[in-house]
Amino acid sequence: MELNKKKPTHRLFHSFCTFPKSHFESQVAGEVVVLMLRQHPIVFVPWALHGLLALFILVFLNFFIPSDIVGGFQRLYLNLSVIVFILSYYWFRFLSYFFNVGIVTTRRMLDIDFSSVLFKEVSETRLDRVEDISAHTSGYVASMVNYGNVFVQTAGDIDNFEFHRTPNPGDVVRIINQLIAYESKHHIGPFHTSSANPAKPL
Amino acid sequence: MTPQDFLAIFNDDSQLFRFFFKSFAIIGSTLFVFYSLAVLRQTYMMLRTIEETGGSIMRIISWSQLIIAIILAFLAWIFL
Repeated sequence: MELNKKKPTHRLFHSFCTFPKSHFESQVAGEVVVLMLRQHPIVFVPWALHGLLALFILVFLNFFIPSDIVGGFQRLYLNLSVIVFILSYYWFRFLSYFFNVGIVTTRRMLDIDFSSVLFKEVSETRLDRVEDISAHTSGYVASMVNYGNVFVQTAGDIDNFEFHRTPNPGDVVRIINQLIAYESKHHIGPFHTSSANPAKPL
Repeated sequence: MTPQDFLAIFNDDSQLFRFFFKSFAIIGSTLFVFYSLAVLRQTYMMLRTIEETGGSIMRIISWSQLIIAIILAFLAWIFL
């Protein structure tokens, strides 16, 4: 991947985006989002199976519950409710997938987590605080579809970062290393659009 | 419903099943309304944290979920 080109790219259902047109809450002027990472779309498979299993149980119940026990409207209500719950489950899973992101900008790295309903956690570290980055891919499926965990060790008391099940972990490590190398050499990120007042909020 | 009518429910199997079905439907659908409200609020909060294209579609889906949840609760209260 050529980092000198600022063309936005989106791969694997927006799970690996370079130079996306997205913005985040605490973004400052001149700060460019270089990488936006989500979990690999393979995580959809168990969720899809859960929903299909619930649907299968519903069909099974429809066949085996006698109609004199569960009447016409009750049966309709039961079917409607279960279908709505399944769709609702898929929607919540999609939201969890879409908004749990790792962001790498020209200045820092952010890990945004929405782990359950109404729970939000945003952690961040500056690129010059990063000490070590490593990628771990383990397991048959992970090797086949190329996803893994990226660990970022930071200096001092700051919590270490971990991007889970990210696609192309090797590319992620390489891009972050390039950014850190550029930052340490020039004391400024390679894609700044404005250096007049870099800390000014948007 | 008089107390005698209420007690009569427990003497009839189909009435008893209907009573429990309705009770579960009302409790479940009411909880689902609260859950849908929480998801709607969460959607707005997420879209404030990360501005993405397609945000309006996500809001519409979350609102639809809440409306469907209210309809389910209404059906459970009135028609079951």
